[in-house]
Amino acid sequence: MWGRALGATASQSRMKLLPYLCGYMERMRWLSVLGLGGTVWAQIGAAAKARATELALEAAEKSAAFDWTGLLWKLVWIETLLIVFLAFRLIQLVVQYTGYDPFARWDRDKVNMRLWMAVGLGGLFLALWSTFKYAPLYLPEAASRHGVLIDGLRNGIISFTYPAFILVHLMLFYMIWRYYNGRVRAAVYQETHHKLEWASLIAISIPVVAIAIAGIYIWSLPVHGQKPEAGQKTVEIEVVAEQFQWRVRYPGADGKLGRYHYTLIGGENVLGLDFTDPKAQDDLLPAAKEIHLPVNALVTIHVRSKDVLHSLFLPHFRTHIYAVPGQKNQVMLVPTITTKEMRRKLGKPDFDYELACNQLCGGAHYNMRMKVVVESWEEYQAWLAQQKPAYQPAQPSTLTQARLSNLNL
Amino acid sequence: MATHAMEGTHAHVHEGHGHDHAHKETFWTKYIFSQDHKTIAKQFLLTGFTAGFIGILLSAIFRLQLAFPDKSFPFLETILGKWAPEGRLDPNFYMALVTMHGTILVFWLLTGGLSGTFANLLIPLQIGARDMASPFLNMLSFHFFFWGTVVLFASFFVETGPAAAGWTVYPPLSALPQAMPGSGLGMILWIVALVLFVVGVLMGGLNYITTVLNMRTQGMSLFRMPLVVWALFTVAVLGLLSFPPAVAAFILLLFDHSLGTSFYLSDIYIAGQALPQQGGNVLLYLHLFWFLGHPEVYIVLLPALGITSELITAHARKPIFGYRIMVLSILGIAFVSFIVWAHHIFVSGMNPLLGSIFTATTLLVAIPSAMKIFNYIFTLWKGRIHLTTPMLFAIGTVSFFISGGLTGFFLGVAPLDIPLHNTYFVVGHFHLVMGVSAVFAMFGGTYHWFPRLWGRMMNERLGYIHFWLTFIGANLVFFPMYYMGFGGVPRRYYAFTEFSFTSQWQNLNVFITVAALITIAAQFIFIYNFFHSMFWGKPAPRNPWKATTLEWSSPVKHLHGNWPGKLPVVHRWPYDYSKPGAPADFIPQYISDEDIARGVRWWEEDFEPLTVIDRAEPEEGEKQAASPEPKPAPAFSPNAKPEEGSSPS
Repeated sequence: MWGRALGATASQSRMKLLPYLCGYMERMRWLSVLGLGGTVWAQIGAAAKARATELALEAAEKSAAFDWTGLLWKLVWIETLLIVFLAFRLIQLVVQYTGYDPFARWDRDKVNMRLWMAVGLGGLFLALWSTFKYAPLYLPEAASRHGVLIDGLRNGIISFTYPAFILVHLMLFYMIWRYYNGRVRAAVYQETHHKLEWASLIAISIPVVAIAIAGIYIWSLPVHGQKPEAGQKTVEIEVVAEQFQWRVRYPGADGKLGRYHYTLIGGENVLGLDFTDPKAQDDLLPAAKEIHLPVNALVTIHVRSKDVLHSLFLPHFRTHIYAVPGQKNQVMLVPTITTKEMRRKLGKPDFDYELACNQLCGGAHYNMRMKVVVESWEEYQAWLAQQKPAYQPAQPSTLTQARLSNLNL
Repeated sequence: MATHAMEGTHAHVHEGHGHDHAHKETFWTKYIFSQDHKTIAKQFLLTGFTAGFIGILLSAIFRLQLAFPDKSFPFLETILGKWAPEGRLDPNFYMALVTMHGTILVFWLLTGGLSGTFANLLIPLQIGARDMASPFLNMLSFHFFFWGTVVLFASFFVETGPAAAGWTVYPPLSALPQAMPGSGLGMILWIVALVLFVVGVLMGGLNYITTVLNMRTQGMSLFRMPLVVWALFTVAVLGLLSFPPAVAAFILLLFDHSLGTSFYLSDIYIAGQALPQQGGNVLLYLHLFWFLGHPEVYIVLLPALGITSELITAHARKPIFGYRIMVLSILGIAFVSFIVWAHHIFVSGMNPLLGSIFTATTLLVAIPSAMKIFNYIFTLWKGRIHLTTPMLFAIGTVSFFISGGLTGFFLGVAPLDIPLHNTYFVVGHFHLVMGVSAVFAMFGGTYHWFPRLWGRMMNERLGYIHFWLTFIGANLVFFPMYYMGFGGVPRRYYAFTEFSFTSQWQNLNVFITVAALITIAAQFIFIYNFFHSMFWGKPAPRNPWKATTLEWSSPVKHLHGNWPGKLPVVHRWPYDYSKPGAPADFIPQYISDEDIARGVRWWEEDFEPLTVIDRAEPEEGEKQAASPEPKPAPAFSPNAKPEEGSSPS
C-alpha cells in the first residue's frame, strides 16, 4: 500500500516484477555483499567473542580488551537498517506489480485542506492551552521597582500579539478552507485593493507607535534614569565576573569602592584592588558566595569582568548587563520584595533569587551561579558587619610591585 | 543599446558552444569547473543542503544533552571519541556543536545555499539572460564557497576542536586560546572559512547585481521582474554593503587572536596572567559584527519571502496582491535592516540613548514585514489554492513568519530585552522567523523548481509526509521555547540543572528533544525523495505548474545559453494568473496580445514556447529599427502597457 507513496511512478508500474527485481538485485548486489559480509562478520565476531573473553580472563590487567559486544551491537544496527531499507523497496516493487494503490482516489487538495484545519486549529488551541499550563513556571512577579513596569509592558505587548497571532492565523486558515481547489474552480483576478492595503498599514502602525513610545519611556526613565527618592537609602556594590564564578565587593564604612587595576590581581588580591587607596582598604569581600541587598534601597551594581565577556543576569529583578573587560558598566535597581516575602508569596520555602551568567564565557558557563538575598536594612547591616575587609596588612606590597615591573608595561 | 549588444554576443557565443556541441565537455568542465549558472545552482544546492543536514544532525547531539544531562550515551563516545568521554558530552564540545550548528545553518545553508541556489538558477532564467554577467566569476564564487566549507568542516578534526565561542564568536573568549579549547586553531580555521565564504558571496552578489541591471531581456522592465528576482537583487546589494565590515571585524579578531594586537582586548587577567593588551573594547566588535549580523537576517529572509511570493501566486492561480507594495516592502526592509543592529546589544553597556533610538528603528521593520504577510494572505483570498507540496511549504513559511515575527515586538523593545536577552525566547524567535521559515521556503523552492533543475518531478506524496511531519515537528520544537523564555532560561547552557529557575523546565526539554529527533528523522524522507527523483522521478513537462515566468519557457534539457534560438521577449508582468477573458488561467510573460489574438495555445501540454519566442525577437539587423515594445492589444492591456524609460540601456 505504500508503494506509490514511497516514490513509485506510473512508468515503472508497467514493468514486470520478476525481470525488474532481477535487475534491481543486480544493481544492488553491493548491498547484499555488505549484508552477507555483515552476517558472516557477526558470526566471526560471536565466535571470537568467546575466545576474547578467555583472553581477557587470562590477561586480567589488560582490562581494555577489544569491545566485541559493542561491535556486535553495531552490526545488529546495520543489519536492521538494511532490512528496513530492503523491506521498503520490496513493498514498493510489489505494489508496482499489483497496481493496487489505496490512495489513488484521495483528493490531494481536500485531504491537505482538512489537515490544515486539524493541525492549524489544533495547534492554535495547543499554543493557547500550554501558554497557561506553563504559566506557573514563568518568572514570578518582578522583585524590583522598574521590573514591574517591564512586566506591564510585556503584558501589554502580549495582549496585542497573542490576539494578532491567532487572528492572522485564522485568516490564513480561512483562506485555505474557503478557497482551496475543490470548493472554488476559478480564482478572481485582483491586483490590489487600496482600502485593504491602507487598513493593513494602519492596523500595524498603531501598535508599533504605541509600543515604541511605551518602550522608550520605560527604558529612558524608570530603567536608566533611576534616582533616589527622598529618604531612600543608597548602596553601591561591585560584582566581578571571571571564569567561572562571581565575586562581590562591598564598600566599607566610607561607603565608597576603592580603586583597582587588573595588573594588581594575584595571590590574595583576587580583585586587583589598589591598597594605596584608603577607600579600597576598608572594602569588604564576603567569603560566602552570596550577594545581600537591602530591600527598598537604590542599589547600584558596578559590573566588570576579569577575563572574557560575561553577563550579570538577575532574572527576578529584570536586571541584565554585560560584564565587559576594560569597561566599567553599571546598573541600578530597587529590590522591592525580600527573599522571605517571596518565599511566602510563592509557597516555595526553598526559593532563592539567583544570579546567572548570560553571555557565553566558556565550558562551565552554565554553572556560574550565585545566590542573591534580599533582606531588611537591619538584617543587611548585621550581615555586612560580619564581613572581613579585603586589605590584609601582612601581605607584602612589594609582590604587586614586582608583578607590575615583570609586565614591562 | 548595450543590453541588446550583449544579447547579441551571447547569442553568438551560444551558437558556437552549446547548440552545436562544437567543443568537448569533460567531467571536470561539466560538473566541477562549470561556468553554467544552472550547474552552479545545483552545486550550491547540494553543498548547502549537505552542510545544512550535518548542521541539523549536530543539533540532535546537543538536544540529547539538554534533555538527558545525567544520562550516558555510549554511541557518542564511538563517534566523538575524547569529546564525549564515557558517553557524556564535554561542555566545551557542546559549545562547539552549538557554534558550528549556528555557523553552518545561518551562513552555509541559509545564505550560501539559499541565495546561491536560487539566485543562480532564477536570475538568468527569469529575466531572460543567457547566463550570469560573468560566468567565470560565478564559478569562482562557488569554489570559494566550497573551499570555505572544506575548511569549516576540517576544523572538526583539529585537536582542540572547532570554534566554540558561539556563532557570533565574541572576543575575548574567541580571541584567547587559554579561555577555551575551541579558541585555538579551530578559531583560526573558522575565520579563514568565513573569509572564503564571504569572498564567494561577494563574487556571487556582484554578478547578481550586474546581471539584473544589465542583462534583462527586451521588455523586462524592473517592475516586470518576479518578486523573487527583486528579493535576490536586493539581498545581493545588502550582502555587498554588510559583509565587508564583518570581514574587517574577523580580520581584526584574527590579529588579536594571533598577533597580540588589542582591538578588542583590554584589562584581561586570565589563566593566572595579566595580558599586556590595553585600550581595546569588545563593544567595537559587537557593533561591527551586528552591522553584518542584522542585515544577515534579511539576507536569509528576503529570498525566502521572494520564493514564497512565486509559489503562492503560481499555486493559488492569482496575481500577487499589491505587487508594488511588495517591492517597496523589500526595499524598505533592506534599508531599515541597516539601522537596527544595536538591538542585539541593548544590555551590553552601550549608551542607553542608543537603546531608545534602536528601539524606534527596530519596530519600524514590523511595518513592511506585516504588509508582506497581509499581502500573502490577501493573495490567497479569492484564489484557487492548489495544495501541492510547494504550496504547503509556502503557507508553512507564512505561518512561521507570523509565529516568529510577532515575538519580535518583545525583543525589539529595549526594556523588554532586559529579561529576554539571550534566553530561549530569542532562540525560539529567530528559529521560527528566519530559521524554519527560510528552510521551508528553501524546501518549497526545491520542490517547485526541481523539474527545472533536474528535469524530473519530485514525488508529491512523500512531499506531503515530509511537509506535515516537519511542520508539526518544527512548531513543537520551537514554540515551547517561548515559554522557557518567559521563565528566563538562558541559551547556550550545557545543562539546566544548576539553577532552580531553569531546572524546573526539564520535562519540557525532553519533549522538545523528542520532537526535534522526529523532525530530524523526517528529513531523511526528503533526502530519499530528492535523490530518488533526481534519477528515477517522473519526467517533467516543460511547464509543470502552469506558471507564467520565463524559466518555464526554456527547454527541459539544460543547454548552455538557456534558449536554443532567440531570447524571449517580455510582454507583461509576471503574475497574469486568472485574467478575465483570457483563454487559460495563466498567460506567460513571453505571450504577447498578438499571440493571443492569433490563437497561440500556450496552455496545452505539447505547446512549444520556442515557436513563439523565435518569432518574437527581432533579428540582429532589425534590432535598431524594431520598436522596443510590441503594441498591446486593448483586450488584455492592464499590465501589458509598455513602461517607457524603465528599461536600462
